[in-house]
Amino acid sequence: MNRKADKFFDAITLLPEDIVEEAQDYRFRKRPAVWRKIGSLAACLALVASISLLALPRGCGAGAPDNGSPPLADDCAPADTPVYSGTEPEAPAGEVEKDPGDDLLGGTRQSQFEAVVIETGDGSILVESVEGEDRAGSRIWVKTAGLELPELAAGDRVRITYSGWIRDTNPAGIDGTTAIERIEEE
Amino acid sequence: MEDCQIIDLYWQRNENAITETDAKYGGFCRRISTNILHNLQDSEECVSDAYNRCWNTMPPQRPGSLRAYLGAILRNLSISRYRSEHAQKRFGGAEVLLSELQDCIPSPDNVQKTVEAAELSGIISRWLRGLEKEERVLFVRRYWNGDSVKSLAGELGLRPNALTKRLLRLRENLRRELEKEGVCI
Repeated sequence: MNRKADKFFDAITLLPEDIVEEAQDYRFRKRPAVWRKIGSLAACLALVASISLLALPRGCGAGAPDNGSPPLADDCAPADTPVYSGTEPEAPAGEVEKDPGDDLLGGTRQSQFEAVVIETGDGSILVESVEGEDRAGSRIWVKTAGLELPELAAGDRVRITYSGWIRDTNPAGIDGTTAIERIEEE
Repeated sequence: MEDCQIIDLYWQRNENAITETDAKYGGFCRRISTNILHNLQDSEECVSDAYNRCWNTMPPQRPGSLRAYLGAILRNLSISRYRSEHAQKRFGGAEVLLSELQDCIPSPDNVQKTVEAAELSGIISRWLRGLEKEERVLFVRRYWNGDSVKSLAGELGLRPNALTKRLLRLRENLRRELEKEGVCI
């Protein structure tokens, strides 16, 4: 055994009582372990990811129309398929009041706009939004499957009510159509 | 029971003094001894010897802190037992503590005088008082109590490796202080 280290041991044994006493009841400030910090960060990221997933439109797997109209891309489209831009359309005048919580879901809030019918098909119509509306002059494929439609022809003015997002394709597309009314010219 | 009341029992030669000491500080005593000897049976014998030593030294002694007094007795008894029984063997507790303490030994180039344990203790005390409280407590808990790195790391919320480095910095700091004082161990 090393005699010098022994002397150190003996010297430490002789430390004053107050220094020894102070150490006995001392409680160290515990630092959070690194893995806990990483765990907290991961939990936060998981929460953000969950909220982001909820904010995306639902209905993954919706098929393309079988009427020859352009296919409507679904949420699970491959990378080269145009996808949602993530920007919600500005609500035009006459927007239906909805629970603010609907915004978080991004799929139940309803909006309306006026447009002129360009082309009709079985299951969808191509319209061009009129002056004064958001996306004025833009052409949009509007899905009509399952809706009760008035008789429509090219040139008719219509009011379209929809929920969810406008797909940022060319032309743009709306899947969540809830109503289409023909506006009689005065 | 307060320390001063237990000490009074020793002075009154009342044998309840040992019972009360064991009730209050039995766990502390066994931990100090086990940290050095790493052997429960040897530790138990050292604790009994420490109580006898208290009985024989009070009076005339009247320590300010019974816990510190008992701890110092136990350290002496435990290291003596270690020296007598394990001089030729590699051994846990004290072996590790002593090997770590070698880091504190100053380089012979800076030596001006040789000090004895009591004087060295005074220098270490002054050095300890100049440290942050947490560092001072850490040094005492490791080298006076003999608490393991693992248990201290758990209390601090650190990995044992991180604590080992922190303790090494403390020992190097003490070595520099001793070199500055120009002492030889």
